[in-house]
Amino acid sequence: MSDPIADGGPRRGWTRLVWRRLPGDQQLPVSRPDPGLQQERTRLAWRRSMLAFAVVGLAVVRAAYVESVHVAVALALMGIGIAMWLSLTTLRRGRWTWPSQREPEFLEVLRDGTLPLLVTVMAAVLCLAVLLNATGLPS
Amino acid sequence: MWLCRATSSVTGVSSSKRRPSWVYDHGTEPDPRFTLANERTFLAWIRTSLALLAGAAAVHAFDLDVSDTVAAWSGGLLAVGGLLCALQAWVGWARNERALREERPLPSSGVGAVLAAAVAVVALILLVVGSR
Repeated sequence: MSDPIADGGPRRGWTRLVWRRLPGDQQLPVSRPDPGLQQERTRLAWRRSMLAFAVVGLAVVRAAYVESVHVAVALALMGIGIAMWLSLTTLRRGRWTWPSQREPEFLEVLRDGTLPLLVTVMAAVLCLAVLLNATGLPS
Repeated sequence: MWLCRATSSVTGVSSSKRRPSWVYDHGTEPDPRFTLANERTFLAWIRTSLALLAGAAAVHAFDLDVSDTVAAWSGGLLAVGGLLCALQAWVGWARNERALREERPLPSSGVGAVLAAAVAVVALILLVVGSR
């Protein structure tokens, strides 16, 4: 398998956006890539987690709807609000260049602990809803 | 130092404005790769929490051949496990982040053993009661 860096990188398609074009149609990577692909792995971990949230959230809201409409609506509204905020926050961490092209010191880390805290609160609320559902919800 | 400056420019905020302060007011900015690995560990705990939650919802939703009391206890135990997992996700992330900033060994946690025991108890209950 050829080394894309040694070969001068991919030359076709949308990957041109992140590869610096040099005179003589020679293309070289913008910077030394992160061989650990940290940013991609983290981004995919967020996607997996948010998909899991969507699936479990829908199941919990549906289960709560059978017991109490008010609780189901409250959970759904909270979920929609947080999902919108989360989308905006994660989009702000968007990348202009392909992340693996970055030097490790320019990888984007969390702004602070607000996002993990919010995700934790979301999971905790869902847990409490299921707990109440299992033991009997006030209707 | 230049590494710290580069990361601050990426996050766009100074350390004094980053919350929680009991994490960010200590030490220096670690290697971003370690921070990202810590973030992924946090997400793995969250997904574990959601998996337990799904199990709790399934016990309650599916018409298992067990009494209502057993179903309620099993579901409740799994939901409490999910809650514990979610809390561990946040606390573990913060403790790890602080340890990384202070270049200390990462702290350990006993939550994993508690969760394993809880899941084993629920599985045994459903296996024994359900097979009768």
